[in-house]
Amino acid sequence: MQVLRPKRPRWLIAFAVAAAVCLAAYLALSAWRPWVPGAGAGLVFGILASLIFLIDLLYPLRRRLLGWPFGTAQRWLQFHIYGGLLAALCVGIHAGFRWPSGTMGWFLEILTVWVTLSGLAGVWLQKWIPALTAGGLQVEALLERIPKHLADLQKESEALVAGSSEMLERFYGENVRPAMAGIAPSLGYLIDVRSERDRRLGPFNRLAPFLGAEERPRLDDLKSLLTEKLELDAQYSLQRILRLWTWVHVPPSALLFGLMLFHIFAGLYYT
Amino acid sequence: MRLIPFGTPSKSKEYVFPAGRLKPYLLSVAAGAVLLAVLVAAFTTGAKTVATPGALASPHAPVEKRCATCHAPGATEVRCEYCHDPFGTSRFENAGHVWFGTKNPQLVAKAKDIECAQCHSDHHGLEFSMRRVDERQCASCHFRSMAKHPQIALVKAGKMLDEGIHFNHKRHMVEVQKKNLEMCLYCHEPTGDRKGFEAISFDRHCVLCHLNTPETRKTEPVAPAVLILPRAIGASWSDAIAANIQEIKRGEVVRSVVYQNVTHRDPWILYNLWNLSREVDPTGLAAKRQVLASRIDDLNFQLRQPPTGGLAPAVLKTQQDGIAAQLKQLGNDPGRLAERRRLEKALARVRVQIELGPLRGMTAPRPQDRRELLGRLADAKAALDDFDNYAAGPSPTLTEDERQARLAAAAAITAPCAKCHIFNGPLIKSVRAAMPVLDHARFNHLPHVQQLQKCQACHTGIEQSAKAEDVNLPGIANCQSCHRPGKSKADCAFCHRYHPQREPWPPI
Repeated sequence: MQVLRPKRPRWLIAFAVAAAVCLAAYLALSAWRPWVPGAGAGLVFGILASLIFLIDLLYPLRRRLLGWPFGTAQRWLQFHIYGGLLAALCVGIHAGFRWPSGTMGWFLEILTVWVTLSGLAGVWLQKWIPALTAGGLQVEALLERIPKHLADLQKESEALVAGSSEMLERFYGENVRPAMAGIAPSLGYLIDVRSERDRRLGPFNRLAPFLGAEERPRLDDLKSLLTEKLELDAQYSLQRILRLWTWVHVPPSALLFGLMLFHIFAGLYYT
Repeated sequence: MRLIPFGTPSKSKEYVFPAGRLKPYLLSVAAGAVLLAVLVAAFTTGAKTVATPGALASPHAPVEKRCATCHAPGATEVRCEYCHDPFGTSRFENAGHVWFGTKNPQLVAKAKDIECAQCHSDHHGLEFSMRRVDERQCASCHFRSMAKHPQIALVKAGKMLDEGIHFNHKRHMVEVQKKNLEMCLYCHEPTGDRKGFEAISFDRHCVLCHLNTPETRKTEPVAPAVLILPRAIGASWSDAIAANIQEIKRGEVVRSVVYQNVTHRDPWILYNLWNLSREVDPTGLAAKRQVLASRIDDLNFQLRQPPTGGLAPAVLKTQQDGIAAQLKQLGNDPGRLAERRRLEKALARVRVQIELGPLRGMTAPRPQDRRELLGRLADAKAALDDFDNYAAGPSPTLTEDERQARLAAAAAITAPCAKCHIFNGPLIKSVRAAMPVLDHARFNHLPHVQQLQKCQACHTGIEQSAKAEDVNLPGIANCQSCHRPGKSKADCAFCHRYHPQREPWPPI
């Protein structure tokens, strides 16, 4: 439940108030007059949504320009999240919560919903994955460095097994080497960061009684190396999800903004 | 600027700013920009439909790809009228609605402009009916729901408008029963679609009992001096009527005449009535003539508007220059705002015609509209010609005795008529009886008769009604008992018209 708790409750409250005001205004005005997206209050909500989208779009820029004077990056992030939600609500109000009847309208609404939902998914991922890795993993590594780390681990395990007993070598060849070879990403880590770790480490416990006392430390080292490799797999999978999320959220946002600008252009052209 | 502190291993470029992190952003911005550029390019090179917020309603399909037919800055109602009101009656303007509802020039002058699209928005798909109007549009000026509908004005007034006739339902219902005719339906004949009733016709309905015996077809004796006898008129009907004039003589002197074969709309009686009116009540006669003349002016006004597409571009250009010159001459005189508004509208119409060119195909004005207008104009002119012929001549100054003699003569020759008709001096009042009484509402009798079986279920007390002025209509509560949400349709447009059907406003 920790991940559902807002980091800045004041932003949530401000959003809730703004959303309530917008909805109340919509309900009052639409009860009074038919709702027209292109005129009066309908147009005001459309303009409001466009402005919020524009500021939201500037957030990645703010993140990179560390010296930007307009507030902290965190404030921008909070606005990006809650402003985005408010903009989606304003789009709904602008359209009078009606299904669009044209292709352009459908694209605009579908993209708005997609960008909003993917944004919310991103917020959840950004909170869930760090909590998951901090709580369940010992190893921490940068995504780009993980393949190198894995290669090092593989080399280290090969060196460790070299010159060991036939039983240990056979065990290594059948159970450990395939597991150490390459990255094995899995979405399952998103649910359980120790996914299948016990099952994969089980053979080590079964083998231990059959090895001589001098080989047991070597088996323990091998077990540690595999554990580390599985943790790196989890790290890789989770960080990869975060990276892929960018592709799910950012390009549709840019397309939405492009369509929105054209929508405004067409509106102005006929005004 | 070096962001990494000195001493940090920097062989791996991936460590602080890993390669490829900007890729999604740059590609996304590029994709968005390309999309925008493609759409704008498509739009500006003619593919305007990329910007459409939705398909047009099927009647507008011919202009689906020609957005500018309807869309242009301002004056969009003029663009609607280009097809929908080619004769320029302006009946679709809000002022036309106010005129239709109130006939009050002050309110008409105050009526605000409402663009057509405010009520009839398009781009909701092929199947969308643009006639469907949101109830809230009506509620912005009127009441909010059927439950708040005020009493029907006529029922509230408790008295019909001037019906121009004596009529006793009670007596007629008894007579209809005596003659074994079908109650109600003998006089109130349903129209072909059974939604309403045909107008009562003397020749079809009344003639069975009225003017059907020699006694009922006689005028009272009247002194011939104040009348113009048929032979002196020399009309096509003169001889036939002269044969029915009985002269009552004393010696060789004709003291009085009795006309023995009065017919409905008898030309000789009408001729004399109008003549007597000219002498006795020139003001009333002038007012009657004004009514006829203004009807002709109305029709001429509609016909004078060139049908869209009917004029050559050069003529339209000349018109445009002419109106522009008039506007310039008018200046910004605040006292002539209405005239300025009218000229601006006329200019906008001409400009739209120049811009859009002749109408083609499905949107061309229907020729029967013009034919119908011409037919109505011919009828109106004939009526005015008759009036002018019958009531020709100056109005003499009469002594009171002369005036009374003429009034007595008018009363005598209209004695058979006066059993039903009401006269104002020598002028016969127009008859409204059995015309639709709800001027601004549609009423379909068929479903009501089918469900209630008896006319008296709504028209209670009709058997006791003794005057034409009786309002034999049920009140609004009767309508509300069925027409309410969840039971039967209760939206404004189900019964009410917004736009006047025909007449232009304001009348000329």
